[in-house]
Amino acid sequence: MNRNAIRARLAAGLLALAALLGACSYSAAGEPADPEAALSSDRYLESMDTLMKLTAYGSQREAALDAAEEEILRLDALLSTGDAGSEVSALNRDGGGTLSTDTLALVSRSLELYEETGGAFDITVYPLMQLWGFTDKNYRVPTQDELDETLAVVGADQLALDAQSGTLTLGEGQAIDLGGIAKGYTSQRVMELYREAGVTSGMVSLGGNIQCLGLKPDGTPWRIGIQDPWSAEGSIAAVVEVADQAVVTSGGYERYFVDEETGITYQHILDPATGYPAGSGLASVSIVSDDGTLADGLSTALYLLGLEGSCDYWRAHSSEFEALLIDDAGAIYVTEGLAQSVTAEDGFTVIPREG
Amino acid sequence: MPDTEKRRLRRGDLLLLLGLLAIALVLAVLTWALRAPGRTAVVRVDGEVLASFPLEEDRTYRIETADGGENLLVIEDGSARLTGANCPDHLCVNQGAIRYAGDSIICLPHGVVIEITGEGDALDLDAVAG
Repeated sequence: MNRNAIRARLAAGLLALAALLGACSYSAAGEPADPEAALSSDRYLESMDTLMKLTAYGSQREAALDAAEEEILRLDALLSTGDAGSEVSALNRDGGGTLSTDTLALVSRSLELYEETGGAFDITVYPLMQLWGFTDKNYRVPTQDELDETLAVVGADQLALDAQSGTLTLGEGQAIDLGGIAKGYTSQRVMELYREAGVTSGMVSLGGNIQCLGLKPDGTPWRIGIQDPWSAEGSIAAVVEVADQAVVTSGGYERYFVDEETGITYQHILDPATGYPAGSGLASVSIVSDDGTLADGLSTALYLLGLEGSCDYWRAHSSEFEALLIDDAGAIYVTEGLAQSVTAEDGFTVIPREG
Repeated sequence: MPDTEKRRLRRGDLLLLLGLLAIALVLAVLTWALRAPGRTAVVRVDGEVLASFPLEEDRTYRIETADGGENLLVIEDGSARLTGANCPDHLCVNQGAIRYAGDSIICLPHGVVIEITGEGDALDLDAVAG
């Protein structure tokens, strides 16, 4: 072979390589790849009584973040119990009313969860939260008489929802708070808005309620730390790798007060059955699900159900979510379907499907 | 002769010592060169980087913003937290400490963001649930 022939082959080879590289830059859908796919923008805002961080990747990121921010503020104005002008405040004041689309979706979902969790998830615990001072930080330990009186108006079975007309009627003296599910619903909506704007990779943290869209631009899963319930130094108990999923953690460590007289710690997740803070033996519950609303509601419900109750519940609903539970002794339990995605320094116990 | 015997042993010892010393030196240089890059707390005000500090060194730093905002950053035992601020809600102080790359503390009223960065760290996170 002479030198020219070699050159010609080399040139042809390089051309082929260039063509191949060009082809690779087109995505599977035949769309030109986003040249800004790896570029991200962050947005911080304060809403729903917490700090939020929104991240979106790609050329449509700013438009997606604008839409998401607007939606968050809209939902907060609708659902906030602290805002006298909100729809939820009006419902509590008037003892019911006709619900808007979002509120109807949230109330319907809450009632389903109430049934499924045997009453552990209950949007009518709001008067109990007020009694303990968790709504305005005027903490105090109520007397048994006060608890009994308040418990009489707690119970989502006293709510009457007419799904046809979208009308909700509260029982006498009842008040609802959708806070146990609103952030999950909101993160779910943000994912939808990201998608609509053309974003394929993004994340939100609504005060520690996490939801991720797709994979990271480099094709790897999102790495979400699960906070160590006993550490004030930002330590984490485990890392969960997820794609297209929400990770929502509930734990007594998030909000509590110490009674000055007795030195007893009272934490904010109240048991609608007893009126007292949950004492189920769990320190935190993290739910992983592609349904952010479900993840939010179940993180509270399973915390109340305890380890055994949570295992049973998961086995009956294992296609809907996975869970990571930390008990009061610090032991970590992970449902079978999540085990491959979890790393924990001190190891963990797998909860098998067949128990 | 016993004397020469002693001397030879001494020389052998010396060679062994030098050899060990050389290996130790090479290992030390290698460890230093290949050391994991440490984590850094980056302080941003309204998006602009104001300062950044390695988490290995304990320190206290007063963040002052143009509109009179003040936050006190404390780096201690490998974690960063805001211990004081003249913002109205103190949400930044309540966020506690952070130590892993990807985690952040935000003081929205002052536009202050503390973010941990660090590369090649097995514990890098995208967010913390809790």
